[in-house]
Amino acid sequence: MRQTKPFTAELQLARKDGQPITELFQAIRTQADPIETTTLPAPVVTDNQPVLQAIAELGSKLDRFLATDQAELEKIQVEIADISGRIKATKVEMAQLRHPLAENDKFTQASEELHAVVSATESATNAIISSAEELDEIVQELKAQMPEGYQSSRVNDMNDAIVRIFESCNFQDLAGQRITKVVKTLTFIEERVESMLNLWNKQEFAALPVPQDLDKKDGDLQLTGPKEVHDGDTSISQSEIDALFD
Amino acid sequence: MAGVIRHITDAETLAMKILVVDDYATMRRIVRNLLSQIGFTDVEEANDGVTALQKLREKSFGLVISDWNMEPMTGLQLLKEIRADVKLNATPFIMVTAESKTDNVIAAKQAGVNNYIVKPFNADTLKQKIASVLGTS
Repeated sequence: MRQTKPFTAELQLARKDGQPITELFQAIRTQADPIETTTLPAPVVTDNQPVLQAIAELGSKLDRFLATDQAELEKIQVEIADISGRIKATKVEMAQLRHPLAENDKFTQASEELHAVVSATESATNAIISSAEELDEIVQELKAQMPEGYQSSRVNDMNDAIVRIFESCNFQDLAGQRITKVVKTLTFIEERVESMLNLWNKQEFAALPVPQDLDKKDGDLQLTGPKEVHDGDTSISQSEIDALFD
Repeated sequence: MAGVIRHITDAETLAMKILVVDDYATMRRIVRNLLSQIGFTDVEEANDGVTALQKLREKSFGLVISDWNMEPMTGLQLLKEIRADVKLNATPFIMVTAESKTDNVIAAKQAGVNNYIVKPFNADTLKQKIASVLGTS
């Protein structure tokens, strides 16, 4: 702690020596607050011009960039709006292909219809073959008992016709193979559509327009053609129809 | 078409056992009927290559008429199995299939097929190919 006023002994000694008290106080204060005499470093002379010039150039570039960027930003905004519109349109189209709220899935429906075609033609083909086999049995029986002559020749003609029936039934196998290829293609497209839907939030599609039914309409009545294969079909059998007229 | 069944008359040939291999029952039935028209009555059926191979190892067949596109063993795989089996490799094999690409036909030929019929086919074609394979034409 620094001394800021004279001690009592110092005052007594000053009085005794005839020294003015004020001088004693002054001397002590001077010792307590010595004047700072720190030597400052010599001033550094620097050339700020290049820095200022660089800042000016940077400012100029920034101005140009901001001016250009605004135009570019507007262009990008327009493009984003365009892309957004296209995405929405694509989503609407995708929803037409597979809508979460659609009663009948078009892909499943198409595949089922094609399977029904194969099944129905297979059944018909087997019925034709059965009839041809029965005819063949009769023809073979007749041939065995008939003497050579006109009638026998005609029976042989019948036999040849039966062979042609068997040959013609080849179509069923090829038609079945072709339809199977179509079903595979449909399945492939269906999987791709499903993948695309999964890339988005699938629930978003529920808000989009539900696809229109492809069936023909007669006024309010839907014309679906042959009995549909899915569970929702409301067709009734001939006997049920007959019952309505009894 | 007259005379379809009258070209193969060798009783021994007509008595041979034929194996018809096709995964499609209706097609097997058609081939069986056409074979019957030609005069072959001892016909057995298999619905794929694996079943066919089992039958071939159990019984002796004079001819195999096989489809190509079948699961789990295709007609080509069946043919290769037959040709690789010392007991079966001499069995005549006719491929009857819708596969008509050149590469496929060549692959079947290289695998040792005796003849190749593209669907749809008629009884006359079937008869000619059988006669050719069996050397009875």
